Amino acid sequence: MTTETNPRGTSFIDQILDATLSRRRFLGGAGALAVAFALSPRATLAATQPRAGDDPAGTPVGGWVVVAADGTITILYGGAEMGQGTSTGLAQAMAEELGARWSDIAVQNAPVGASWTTGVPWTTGGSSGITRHIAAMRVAGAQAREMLKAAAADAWGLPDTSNLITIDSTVRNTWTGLSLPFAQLAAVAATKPVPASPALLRTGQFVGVSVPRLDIPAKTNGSARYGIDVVIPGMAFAVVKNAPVLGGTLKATPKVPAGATAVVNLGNACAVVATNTWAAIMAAKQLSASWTTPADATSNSSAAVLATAQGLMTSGAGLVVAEGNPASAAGILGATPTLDQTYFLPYIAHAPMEVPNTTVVPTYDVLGTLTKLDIWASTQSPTGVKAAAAALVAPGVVINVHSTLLGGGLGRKIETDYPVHAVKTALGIKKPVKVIWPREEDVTHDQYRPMALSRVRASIDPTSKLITAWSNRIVSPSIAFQRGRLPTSGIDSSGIECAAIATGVPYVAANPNHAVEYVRHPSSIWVGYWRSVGASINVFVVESAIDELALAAGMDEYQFRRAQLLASTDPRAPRFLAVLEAAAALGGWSTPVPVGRARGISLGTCFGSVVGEVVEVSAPVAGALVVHKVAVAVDCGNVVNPNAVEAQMQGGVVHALSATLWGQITFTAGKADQNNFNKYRMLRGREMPVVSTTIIRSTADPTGGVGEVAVPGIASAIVTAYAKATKTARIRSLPMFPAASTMAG
Amino acid sequence: MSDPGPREYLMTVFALNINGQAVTVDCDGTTRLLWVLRDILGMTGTKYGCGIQVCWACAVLVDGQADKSCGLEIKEMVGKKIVTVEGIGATPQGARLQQAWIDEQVPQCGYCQSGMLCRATQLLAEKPKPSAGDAAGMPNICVCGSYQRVQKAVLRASGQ
Repeated sequence: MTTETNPRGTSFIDQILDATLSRRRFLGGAGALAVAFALSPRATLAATQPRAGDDPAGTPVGGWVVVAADGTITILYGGAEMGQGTSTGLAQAMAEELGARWSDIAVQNAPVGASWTTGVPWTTGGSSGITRHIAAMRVAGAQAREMLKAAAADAWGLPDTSNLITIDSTVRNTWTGLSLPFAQLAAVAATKPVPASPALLRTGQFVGVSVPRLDIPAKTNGSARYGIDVVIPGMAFAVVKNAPVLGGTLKATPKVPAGATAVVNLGNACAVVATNTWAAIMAAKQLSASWTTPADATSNSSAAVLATAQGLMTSGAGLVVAEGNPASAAGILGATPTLDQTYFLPYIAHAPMEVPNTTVVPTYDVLGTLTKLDIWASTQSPTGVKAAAAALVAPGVVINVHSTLLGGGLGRKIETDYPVHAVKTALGIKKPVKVIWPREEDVTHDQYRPMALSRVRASIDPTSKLITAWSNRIVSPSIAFQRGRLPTSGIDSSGIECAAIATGVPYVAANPNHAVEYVRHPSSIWVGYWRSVGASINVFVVESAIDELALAAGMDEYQFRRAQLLASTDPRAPRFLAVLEAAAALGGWSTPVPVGRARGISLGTCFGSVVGEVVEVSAPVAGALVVHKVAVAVDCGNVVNPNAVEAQMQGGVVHALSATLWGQITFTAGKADQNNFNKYRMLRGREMPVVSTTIIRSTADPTGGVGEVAVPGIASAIVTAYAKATKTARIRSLPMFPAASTMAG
Repeated sequence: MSDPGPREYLMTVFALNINGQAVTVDCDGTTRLLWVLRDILGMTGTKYGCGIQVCWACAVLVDGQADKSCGLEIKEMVGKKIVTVEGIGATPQGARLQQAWIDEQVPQCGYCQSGMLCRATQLLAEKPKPSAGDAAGMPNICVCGSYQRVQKAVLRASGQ
């Protein structure tokens, strides 16, 4: 790439991310949210009609609840169901207010309506699937409930609804004991006014209960439809071939290779179109394309990126102080601080199981003018896809984005690069087409978790063992900068997340002697939002350093953390202490360690939740590692579905283990060296530790995220346990076992 | 096309047996079973994950043996009994596994589970009382990390 600005990023997405990352402020405006929601019913459905047969059958009551004649209640939800259980969780909140019977409930993605784009974007990131939408879903359920009650009052000739309740998908008259099912009331209910601010009952009937997930049965028999499964009669199939060197562009549209029906020039890529995906894949292999090579290609080699990072670490060129006062901290640290170590984390890819894909149906009028785009995208951001598509067509073209299940998102599918490719392909051939990125394109052209070089200098008081000064310099590419939205302060908020006390573990209260410096690395290798984002980097660094300080203090890592938190005057410290103690208890920290094994512990915070983790490992032979157990204690505030929370803790542990042990994308002259799972290893069943989870019900922070929060704390705990088990020097550079990062079938 | 291309682009009709049904497809003989199922027959339960026979997302049963359909040429499938995730429910093992998958709330994103269930169906057919280690030994990649529940569900489906 010739500039440092990611041409594929859109500031639109980043505004959404900003909203996600400042969720607490957002939730503070819940009143405004409810109003926006009250304005949105039904009109939104109508605005996007027709929707190619994907509207649920039945009568909409209030816009977000559709009651069918057979009693099925379809709840429309916003955001992405990518495996984290959001669709069920949101349905729980709505069904509870509605007074529905759980076995009547079905869920379906809501259409991407204009009224939502101003209030609650249809974007799921930052573990916000529940936290962002739950208040609105409660209101929607309550609105439908009041409309159904009004219809029942009509049926029974009552002057008002004061003696009516809803229960088990019926309206019941508490005086007479008579009931009427929702299905009989829906038609009249639909004509009732939508109450702007109905009372919220919060009965606890479903929220907080491990109801079975609604999406699971279809995921056991092949009937679940992901984006990649969309079938449009007569559609073509295309695969994308991106410019081999990041930032390259096509010099000319290549000749159509044998087996293909068309090649579409996408600028930074081309689409090879055929009658089925296999034919497209084979034809793409024979593509003869000529690409530009960006001037900075050679600087996008891993060795050059590291050398640049090391230079910036030493020089501090362009550094910004994100927290504290480095000079003040340096005065205490002096020439020989207790700890002075530098840690390295590599670029890593998302690699969700379902590759990026989008299906597009363009509609033309008799004059051949484009009138409509129907887009089925496996996306975390239907709102972003709609905006990105709109930028490619004339004003007035109707754009319907149909959300689908996602075969994993992990932060990759918040980007709009692949839907843009699909829209351009459909416009190029003027036909319906399904466009996929083969796995090789996904791994080599991801928007990667940024690499980072991070140095921590810290000192402790020799008597109290408390941290007296801490200075952390982070050198890392900025996701915000690449998208043209780095604030004038120069501080990338996700780049320092969890490194700064304000967003991290309050081992000390914020003070001038706890300093964080941020130096933006200029590499143009594309970076993006990998599960847990900045926390995935900074929790590893902070917790590694804490473990090293404990060692220097001659203290057990758990007791060292405990001592800091007990002494901390930060008001958040008790919440963190409770999680730490719960993790230690669950992980048996105080029990004897089995022979040959060792334990590690970590504490972290991410998207409003606090997570403590204890790992137990052994290393039977040098260079090998067996992770036996992982104990996870999580305080995510108000829990919607404990079973789904447990699943996310297990999943976060697995994802973090793959990254810690083997995960890295390296580059040679702007080309990724890994291109598929054979070179980008994922944990398998036989390597799975036993993960136990305890959920702490706390009110300290009303609602935290769940999908990403188990990820950040694993790496440091594993590294420490491995060093203890093998009595070898601590690993400060990830992944731990790069030589073992290949796998076979 | 003016250029007919190499021989492998020539179309041929193949008679297949999929989930107990006779099906014919008209395509190049080297087309992989995965894409015949998905793109030509519209049976999208079988998933594309890596295309290089590593991840097992595309696993189906071929004469009872789980195999990676992204690597199987359609011309080699003639005369074989192919069972996909859409068909495993017709086998006693598959039906028990599907229920156990629900009971243990196994899938997260669910994308790998078609292949996982096919592989587990083979396991139960061969070994009605598999060990936890047998269940853990299934090679399917699950990026969501559902392995712990997969292992519990396999044991539950086998009555353990």
